[in-house]
Amino acid sequence: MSEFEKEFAFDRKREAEIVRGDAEMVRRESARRTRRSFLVGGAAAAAGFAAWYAVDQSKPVYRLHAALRDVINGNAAVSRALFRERGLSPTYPLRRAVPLRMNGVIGMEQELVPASWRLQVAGVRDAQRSPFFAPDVTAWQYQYTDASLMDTMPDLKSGAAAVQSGGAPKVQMPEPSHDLSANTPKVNGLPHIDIAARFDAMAQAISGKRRMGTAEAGPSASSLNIGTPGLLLTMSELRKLPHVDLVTEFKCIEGWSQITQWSGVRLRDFIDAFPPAPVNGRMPRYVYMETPDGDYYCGYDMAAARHPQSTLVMEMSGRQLLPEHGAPLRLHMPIKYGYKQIKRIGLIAYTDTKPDDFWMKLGYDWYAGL
Amino acid sequence: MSIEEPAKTEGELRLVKKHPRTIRWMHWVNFPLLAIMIWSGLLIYWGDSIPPYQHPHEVYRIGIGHWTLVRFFPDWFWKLLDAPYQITTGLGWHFFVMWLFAINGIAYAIYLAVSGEWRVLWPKRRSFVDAMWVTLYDLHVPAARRRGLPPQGKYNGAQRIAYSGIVLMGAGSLLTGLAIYKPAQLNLITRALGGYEMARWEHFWLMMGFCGFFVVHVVQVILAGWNNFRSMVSGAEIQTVEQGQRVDAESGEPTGAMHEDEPPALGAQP
Repeated sequence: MSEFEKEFAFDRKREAEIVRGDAEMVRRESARRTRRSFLVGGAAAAAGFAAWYAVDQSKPVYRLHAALRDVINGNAAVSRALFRERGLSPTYPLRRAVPLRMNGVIGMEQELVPASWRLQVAGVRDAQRSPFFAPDVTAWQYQYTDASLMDTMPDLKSGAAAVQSGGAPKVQMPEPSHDLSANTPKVNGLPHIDIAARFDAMAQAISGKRRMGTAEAGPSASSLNIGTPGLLLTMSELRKLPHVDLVTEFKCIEGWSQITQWSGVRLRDFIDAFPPAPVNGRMPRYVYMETPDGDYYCGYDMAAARHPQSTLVMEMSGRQLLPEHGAPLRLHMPIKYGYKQIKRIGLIAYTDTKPDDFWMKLGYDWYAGL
Repeated sequence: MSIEEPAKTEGELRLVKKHPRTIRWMHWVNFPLLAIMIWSGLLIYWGDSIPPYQHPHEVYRIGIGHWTLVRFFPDWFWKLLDAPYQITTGLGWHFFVMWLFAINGIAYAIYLAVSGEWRVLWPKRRSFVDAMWVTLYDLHVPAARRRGLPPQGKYNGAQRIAYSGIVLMGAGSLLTGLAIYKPAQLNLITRALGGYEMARWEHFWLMMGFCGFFVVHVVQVILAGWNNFRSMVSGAEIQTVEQGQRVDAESGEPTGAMHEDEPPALGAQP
């Protein structure tokens, strides 16, 4: 059969005649079919609308409809299963690199006195034997150049830690149904502090305008308890690790991206140099990081932390990290969106419990994998 | 085109199958899905122009080099859409409905291939010339009006191009979407599309293309009339007995639908 004949035969078959005859009868038959289709279609549209309404009305889990939160968590599971964080982010020639845009200062509102910086590390194996061992890493005092702004901040860490003390890192996820937008969180039953309003006031005092979302994430559920032992590392200790250089594209979930040069040490080299203590006989599954003031915090799968491109950054664009980019130490993780690339790291903790995450609490994806 | 319902005359009419049930379902399901994808995508696009940051759009604009004619979108549009500070809602819906949109689109492509419906949809060599004449005809260009519409089957040349193009655009949206969604793990796709920024640009303009298609499509459907629209609902179209009929010379029985490569058998009586 020629192509023409095939098409002709097909056309004849597909335009099959349903009925022919008296005009009124044909119109009646058409109307009957149309009515039936509209009824079925209307029912389907109603079902579709009901599904949309159910999602839209589902109780928010960290500011995202529970149903949508379930789906993005499911998407993350699919991504983990398919990709296993194996893919590499493309790298570029140095000439394509530009200085990175400054975007957000949460956790960095006050200038840190550089000499007062230490990296707290918790959950490390054989910490006591290290020359950098500290019986209570949370006792380390970071110093800031502007103390007056600090005074306006609620003392989140001591507030949260007062009722819960103990040796192990306190890492626990709040109840998934806990809706932060509905009621301001109470800090472990302590007298209610309107943290959101105070953050807001502070953000407004600094920028003169409200920045998005800085206020409501509140304190991290994964901050260390007072009395947590660990290491207090200086920058010179980190610099002993192999130096790496990479030019990759930084991608912000707001929809912009820039190719930038990063230098520092691999996070996996850091993990190998300061390995985690086993939890229940095996390696902990997560890494948690936060800023010295605990305002900004991120959680990572161990697989993402050990990705060869995950870098603890000390220099950007060929010069020392600027304060607004998270001096003295920030994370670059090109397989994640920018909101996981925490600036001004004060703490790195190993944990077997999924850590709290700043932007996750404000409606974003915990996984954020690219 | 047999879209005009025959005038209310006495005599014989015929009711013929026009659109298969599967296609009708997929067509109507796609409408809300695509609408949600566009709406939620716009909530995400808004994030690139968060007012306090004062960064102009670098990707979503019309311009050459550093010269920009228009940046998308004006403030009144964002306010109309209630887009400000709804990125998470946009991301949540986008990464949910993407599955449904992809499944419906892939199922449609498979159905076209398996059922053979692609034969009446995919452009033929002459479709491009036909499309030009159809467009000129619709624009009331005198020469095209005098010439009349080219003969056609289910779809004319312009429709073949448009309805095949929209399938390709859907595939393009899936591909550019994947390139943006997993630019590290699927960086081969991202690279093939010209990089991350280029993939975002392509994804954006495909969305604009869907919006443009929607406007033209709705206008054309309104112009085509109720009989045509109804056939996308019930699947059946009313035709005159003469329409689309060819008569077997010996038996006098109708042999099937008119074919576009055949002269229309006007005036033939069964």
